Amino acid sequence: MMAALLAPLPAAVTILLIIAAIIPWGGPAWAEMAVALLPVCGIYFWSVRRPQLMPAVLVFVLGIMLDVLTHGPLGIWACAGLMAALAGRVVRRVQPRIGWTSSAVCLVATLAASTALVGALEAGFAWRPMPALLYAQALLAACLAYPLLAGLLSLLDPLWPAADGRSLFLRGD
Amino acid sequence: MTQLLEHDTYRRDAWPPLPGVRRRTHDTLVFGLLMAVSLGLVVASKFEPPVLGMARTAIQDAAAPLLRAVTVAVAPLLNAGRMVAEWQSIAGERNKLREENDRLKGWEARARALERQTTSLAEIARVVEEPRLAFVTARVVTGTGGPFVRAALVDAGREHGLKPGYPVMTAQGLAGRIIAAGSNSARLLLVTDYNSRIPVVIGAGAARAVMQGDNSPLPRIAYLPPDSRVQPGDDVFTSGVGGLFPRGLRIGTVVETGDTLRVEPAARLDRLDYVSVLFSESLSALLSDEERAIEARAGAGRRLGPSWPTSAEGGLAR
Repeated sequence: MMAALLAPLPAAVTILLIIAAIIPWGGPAWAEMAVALLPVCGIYFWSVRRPQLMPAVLVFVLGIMLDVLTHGPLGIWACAGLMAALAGRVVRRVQPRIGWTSSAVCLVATLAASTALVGALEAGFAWRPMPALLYAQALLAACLAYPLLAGLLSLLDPLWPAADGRSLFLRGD
Repeated sequence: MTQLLEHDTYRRDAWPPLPGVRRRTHDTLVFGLLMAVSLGLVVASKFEPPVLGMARTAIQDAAAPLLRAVTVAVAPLLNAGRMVAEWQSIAGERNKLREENDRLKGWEARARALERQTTSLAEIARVVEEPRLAFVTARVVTGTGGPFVRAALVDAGREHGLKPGYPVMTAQGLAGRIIAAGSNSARLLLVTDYNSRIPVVIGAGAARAVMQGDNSPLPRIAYLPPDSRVQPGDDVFTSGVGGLFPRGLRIGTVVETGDTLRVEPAARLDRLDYVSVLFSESLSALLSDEERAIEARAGAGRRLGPSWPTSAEGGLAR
C-alpha cells in the first residue's frame, strides 16, 4: 500500500518543480532560465536514484508539459529531459567505480549539454545568435542549486523503507 | 525452497522490455525513439500546424485553474520578496521622488491647461469622439520561464470575451497583446518578444517608427525617419497605424544603448501580476476570411523571426 503511494512521488516532485519554473517570480532572464532547468535537475536526480520510477515516457511527458507551460516550441525541454535521464542512468551504472567527484562532473556536463541543446535549438529556430552569457549564468546557477535540491529530495529517502535492499518478503513453499 | 519476492511496486519495472530484448537495448531504443519524436515536434512547431496550437491551448486551459491556485498560494511569498527588494531601494529613491513630485506638479498644471485647449479645439473642429474601450482585468498565472518566448498566461479567456489581438495593459503602460485564447485562459505576447512589431509615435515631434521586440528587456526602434528628432527620455505611444492597436496607448520612454535607440517599457514586464485586456477589435479581426488569408500569406513572406509563438490562432503575427 505504502509502496503504491510512493510510486508517483518522483513524478509529483518533478511536476512541482515545473510549476515552480513557470511561476512569475520576477527575476532576470538568466534566473528564469535557471529555474526552468530545475525540472531537468529533478529528472537527473531521480534517474540516478530511482530510474524505475522515472521511465523515459514519463520524462517525455514532463518535458512536453514544461514546453507547453513556458510557451516555447514543443519538444525542446523534452529533449533536454531525456538527455538528463539518459545521463542519470549512465551515472547510476558507473558511479560505484568513478566516485562522487566524477559524478559531480557528470552532473555539470549533463546540465551543460542540456543547456547547450536548448540554446542550439533556440538559435537554430529563432535565426539569431545564442545569448551565451545568459546560458552560462543559468547553468552556473543550476549547478549551484543542484546540491540543495538533491539534499532536499534526499530527505524523502526514509520513506522508502528498504530502499535498495534485497530482502523483502520471504515466502516458503 | 524459499523464493525471494520483490513485492514493492516502486521497484517493479513499469515498462518491462519486449520478450527477447535485453533491458539495455530496450532502454536505448525507447530513449532514441522519444528523442526522435521530440526533435520531430520541434520541427513541427516551426511549421505551426493548427492541431499543435489547439492542443497547446487545451492543455493551458486545463492547467489554468491549478496555476491560478498556485499563484494565489505563493503570492505572499512573491510579495515579500518584492517588498524586500523595494525596501532596499526606497531610501535612495525618496529624495529623487520628492524632486520628481515637485517637477510633476508643474507639469500637471500645464497638462490641465492643454487639456482645456484640446477640448475647446476639438469642439471647434467637430472632432469625432473616440469610443471608450471596455476592458477586463485578469491575473497573470505564469511567467515566461525561459529565453524563447516573452509570453505569459492570464486566467481569462473566450468566456470572458477575450479574443486574439486584444491589447493588454498594466497601470503603467502597454504589456502586449493576446495571441491565443482558450475558454478560460489566454496567452499574452509581451512587447519585448521577438515576434512583437508595434507601430509607434515618439516624442513631441510625433516621429513614426516601429518598435521591434528582440527578447531583450528593451525593444528596438526601427524604421525611424532620418530627419526625426528623437531623444532619450521621449515618450513612446502606439500610433494606431495598421489597426493592430488603438492609438495613444502608452508604451514607455526612449533610451539609448550604444548607438541604438531602444524603448524602456513603462510596464514592469518582469513583475506582471494583474493586467487589463482592452476589448479593441484589431483591423485583422474586421477583415473577411478571404482578406485575412491574403494578409496571412503576405505576412508569412514578411516574417523575420520564428513563427511558432504566435501560431495558435493563426494570422496576427507580423
